[in-house]
Amino acid sequence: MKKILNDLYQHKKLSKSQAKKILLEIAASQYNEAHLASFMTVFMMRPITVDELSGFREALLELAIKVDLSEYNTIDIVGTGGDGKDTFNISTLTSFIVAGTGQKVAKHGNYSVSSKSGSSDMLQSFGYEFTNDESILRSHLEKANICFLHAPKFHPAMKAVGPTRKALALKTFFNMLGPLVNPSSPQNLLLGTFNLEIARLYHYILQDEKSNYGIIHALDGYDEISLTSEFKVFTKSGEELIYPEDIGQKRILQTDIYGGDSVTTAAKIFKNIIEGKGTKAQNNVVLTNAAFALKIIDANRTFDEAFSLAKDSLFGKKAAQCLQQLITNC
Amino acid sequence: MKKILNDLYQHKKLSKSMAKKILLEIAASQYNEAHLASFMTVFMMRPITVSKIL
Repeated sequence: MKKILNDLYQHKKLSKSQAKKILLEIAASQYNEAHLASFMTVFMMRPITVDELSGFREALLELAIKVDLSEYNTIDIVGTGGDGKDTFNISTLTSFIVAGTGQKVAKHGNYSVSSKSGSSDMLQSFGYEFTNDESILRSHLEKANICFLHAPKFHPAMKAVGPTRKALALKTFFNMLGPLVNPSSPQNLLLGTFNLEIARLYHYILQDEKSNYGIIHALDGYDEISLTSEFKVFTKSGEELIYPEDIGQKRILQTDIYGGDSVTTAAKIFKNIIEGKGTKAQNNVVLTNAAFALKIIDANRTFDEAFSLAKDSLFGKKAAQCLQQLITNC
Repeated sequence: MKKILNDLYQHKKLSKSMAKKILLEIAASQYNEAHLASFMTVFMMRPITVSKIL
């Protein structure tokens, strides 16, 4: 590790295979906390490269407890978090709306790092019990069209860096890896990032793969389509800058999608929206994200078609039924 | 310390008085090992300035 660190201090880059090897060694607890903290700091002092991120990702996927859901055509809808915006759980709500349209969702999630409530916080507050049992996850997909993959259950390797990350309490490259390491390797991905640099990195990594994907970054900082500003979308076919007005939406205020300062408040807002009782702004944000998710799965759909499918799921209480099914069957 | 580290990650420099203050705090064991390792790493990634040494 000393040799590698000395090279990195001189601003040398790691190859993909070097990056992978080091992360495998880190996961095997081969380094002390000081070395780990120093290693993580290197990538805060300079941008991480595509090869480095890609190598770290390969290591984590190799060590993950994998689940085979390949006979379903699933989508994951997840963001890096860390946008510091404290919104309500937009990607989790989006997931249930998409599930309500009949599309299978394999959502990867975790407790919150930055906002007050992550998808795991939310589902736990509704009484959902995390599991990595493949047969249970399959039955959730059958009955509720959605299964939830709580990251710590699938990535035991991350335990080796838990204490250092906690002690640092700063955003490290590990925060960028979450959305890239869904242990069921879904065929479709709608990912959000807290900055454009990460969106580009994701784009370069996913370009070489089979999955359909969309990567979102709203230019005012959100890691999802917020409708508070224009947003960037990267897909297999390139990149686009979309204004809310382009898709027939009204621009909304940041306060319209605030999620409160506790899990309890966020859960209340969540329940309200999923029961179809959200404000117009709240509804339009989740429906727009759901429409983009549906367009990723089937690029031939127009935005308006996808949006009305999403509306039918939300206001026809189908999304709410999926949540109900998921919780009662766990 | 988190604020200082975040500034340093963006390649901001410390003033002489800031540098002195932080080292006094470090000597008083006010920071955990991870923060210390990260702080030292910053100055391995970029040259230290004169005002910090003096």
